[in-house]
Amino acid sequence: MHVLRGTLVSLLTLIAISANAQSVTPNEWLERMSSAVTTLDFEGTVIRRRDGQSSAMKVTRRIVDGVVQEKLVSQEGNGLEIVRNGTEVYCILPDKRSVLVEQWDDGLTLFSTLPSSQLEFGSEYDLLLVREERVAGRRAMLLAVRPHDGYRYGHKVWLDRETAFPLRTELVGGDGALLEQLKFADIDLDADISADALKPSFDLQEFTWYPESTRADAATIDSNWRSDDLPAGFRLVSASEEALEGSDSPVVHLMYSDGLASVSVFVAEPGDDQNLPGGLLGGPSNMHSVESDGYLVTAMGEVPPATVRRIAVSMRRQ
Amino acid sequence: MREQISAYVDGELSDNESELLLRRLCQDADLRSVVAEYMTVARAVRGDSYSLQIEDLRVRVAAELGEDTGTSTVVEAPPVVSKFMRPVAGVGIAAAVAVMALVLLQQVGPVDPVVTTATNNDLAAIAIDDVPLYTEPTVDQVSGNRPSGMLTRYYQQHNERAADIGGSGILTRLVELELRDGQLVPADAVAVDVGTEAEDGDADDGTVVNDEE
Repeated sequence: MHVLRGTLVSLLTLIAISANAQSVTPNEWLERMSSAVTTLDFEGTVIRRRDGQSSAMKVTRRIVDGVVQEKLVSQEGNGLEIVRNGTEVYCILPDKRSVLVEQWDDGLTLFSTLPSSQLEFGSEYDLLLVREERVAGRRAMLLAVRPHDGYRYGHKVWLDRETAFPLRTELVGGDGALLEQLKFADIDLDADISADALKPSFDLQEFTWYPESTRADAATIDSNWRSDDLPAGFRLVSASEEALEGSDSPVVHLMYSDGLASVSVFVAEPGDDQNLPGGLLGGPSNMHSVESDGYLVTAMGEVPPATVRRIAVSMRRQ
Repeated sequence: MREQISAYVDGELSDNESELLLRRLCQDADLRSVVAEYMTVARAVRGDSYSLQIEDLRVRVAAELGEDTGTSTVVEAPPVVSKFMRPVAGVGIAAAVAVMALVLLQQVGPVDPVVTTATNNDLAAIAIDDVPLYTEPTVDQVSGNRPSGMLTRYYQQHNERAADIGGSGILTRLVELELRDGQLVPADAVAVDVGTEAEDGDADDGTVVNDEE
């Protein structure tokens, strides 16, 4: 009798947990995810897959007083290490006995693009809770971000049921083809990470250090270049003039975004280096160049070819 | 299937089961692809001790398919090389970065694989390890595939700005590293406050010396 009662209690508990997970809306999952990726300490092995090829890296991260401390180690080849403390980043190339010093301002080191709960789903994308699956030995909820048209890619995100941490992400083309995948093969969430675990694996005393290369000077402008045929949902989010090395005159840089995908448009006076190839950059990135009103207009971004082509040919000087 | 592979590399599979496994791998390209992914995971999780068993399995599959395996071990596993890779001095540092950026650098397009010996062409096609068999391209090949310098700078600027609005992470950053000019300038000891002074070493002329040279 006691055994029966215990089983019944366990069953009811499981049903309650399951019902609770299902009652959480997709947007609430994304809100939980946003919190998880910026607060959880973890260590694990990440597999990156793109165009049928895979690579692996060990990742260790902890947050101390709001400051991200991370260490990423390539598991193949020359053992590249990246050690991050806040915005200060050291890229260690052991075989070259070199350290590249970088300044990375973004908060999320690992994930290239994650949908935000701030995104206005329903306009250009639908957000769906699909089903529960297992990833890295943990129960995960699959969320799908489906675009309404062919001008942007779709996303799939597997969130840990317990913490909403993204255990796996995929970028999907219009034909359903996998463009890019990042997934944890194993992960220890909320692990107790020691300071020693985040130190470089090498004595860097004898290494040669290289500073971050000088960034192009950029000045915000009110550009007179506009697109007269933007794909739905894209809007101008920034406009600047940038003095790029190799260009005699400043280049206008416009950034368009639909909240998830982004496209850069560069407008430059023709020069010696104007023969830019149009078309594919590889992976999910594409570019297209056209001449407009005596200027060279180049659009590029992680969007389908039709998107960069449409934006590039639609640029007009007002 | 994964359990079988795991058992094989652990030496826990019987001869009959090993033969069955080999036969299945030889007949099913999709299965080899699945195994390739598994190998990547296993290698990452379990370490380099796996490599010998993986190589053994790969050679056995190649032998079953009647391919020449004699030169397979001399082919380096391999960086994918970006079109943006700089020639000469840039190759050294770019090759190091390319290893981790293996799949990411597709953004800038890989150079066609170059296999060192003709007999490895077919072997590469049936390799069960997911890492393609090819060697680093020559400087001429890299130079011939370089895009314009301006496109390179556009790409860097796009990535930086995309990062500002929430996109781009470490993987894109690695592409940026790849895009960096090979003519890196050693840091001023004062500018880099890491408690150590930069050694002049082999890069005191402002270039990264390619060890292979």
